[in-house]
Amino acid sequence: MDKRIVGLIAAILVTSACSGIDHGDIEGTTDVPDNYSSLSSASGQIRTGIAISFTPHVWTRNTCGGTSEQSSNIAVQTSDAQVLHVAQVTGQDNQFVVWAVAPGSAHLIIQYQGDTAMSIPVTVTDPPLK
Amino acid sequence: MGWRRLTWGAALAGSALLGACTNEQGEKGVLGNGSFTYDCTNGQGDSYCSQNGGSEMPSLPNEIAVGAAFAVDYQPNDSAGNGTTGGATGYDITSASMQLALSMGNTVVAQRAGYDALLATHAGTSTVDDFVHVEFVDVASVTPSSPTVQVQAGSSQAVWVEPKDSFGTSMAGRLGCTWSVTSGQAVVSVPSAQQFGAIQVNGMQDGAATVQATCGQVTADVTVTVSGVADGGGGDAGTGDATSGDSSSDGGAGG
Repeated sequence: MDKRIVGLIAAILVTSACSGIDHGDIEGTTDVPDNYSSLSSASGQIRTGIAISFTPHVWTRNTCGGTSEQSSNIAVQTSDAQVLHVAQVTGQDNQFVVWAVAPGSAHLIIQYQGDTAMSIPVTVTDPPLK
Repeated sequence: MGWRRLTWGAALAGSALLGACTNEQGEKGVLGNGSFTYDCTNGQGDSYCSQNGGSEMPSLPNEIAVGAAFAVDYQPNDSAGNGTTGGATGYDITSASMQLALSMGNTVVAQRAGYDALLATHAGTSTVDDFVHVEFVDVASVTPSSPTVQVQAGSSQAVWVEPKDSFGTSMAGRLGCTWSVTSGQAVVSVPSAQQFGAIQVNGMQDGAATVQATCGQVTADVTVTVSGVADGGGGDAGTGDATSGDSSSDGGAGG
């Protein structure tokens, strides 16, 4: 086989194995008034009606060496709009607001260039009756 | 020298006055992109608006009554990032959850107790400019704007109820109530459908009547006296401060 073809195949294999999403997280979550609701990179518990803003981060693997933080082309989606809503903050490419619409469970899905970087399970419960 | 001092003094006073006029009014949003104010433009029957001296743009209240309607305006910061005053300019206020509140335009109707995020979105866009949380609290009792009202036959008088929490603290919002005439049906008439805020009690003929407001689980009675004798200004008992009329007809505990 032509050495050039072998080299090309090898380069493709190496590149595909060593690049892609490394990990993601969120930071900058805003305060809530109910002393219950919270959102982290690992999970969330939010009372119905509560909104939390946050900034997602995604790191991609460099070709066989280190990672790079991506600050654009990050999208956030909800797995169930009946439970959670999410929207971008006006004029801010990388700041989002999630709010609890109704009780249930949903995932907050953070994507980079269409690939899922992380999926945060969120549980929504109604405020307690007083 | 004296004039120079006077000039500086005037300049400083002017700056202070200007600062007051452009000072941030209302409550700053969680994201710091703008300010939210309570809109009292149609606030008749909202004791929070009365308590704020009729100001059209007071700050957001601590508690808003479940079952009450209210309006909130959003004003984004100016280009320098400073808070500005004024009403909403093309912004909608959206309740985070329809279980907590229904919203349309900048009007919100509280549905159940809890904290609810009010999100400011520019009309036609899907992004959120800013948001703020408000607390809805169940109504434990209501107090009529005045326990007794005098009205002339052929004229009308505004009446409303003030919602209170379980601690007796007045709450904001134009409470939605159904009004009925429980005695003296030939003497006065009231609107038949549910009304938010003040209603007009219409005097029809001389006599006495009792008008009852049913607001969720609680009720309040207002005694109305209709007199055909002109007094020059008509009855005015219902135009007083909503907090002035403490009545023994406060309703029981709400659900």
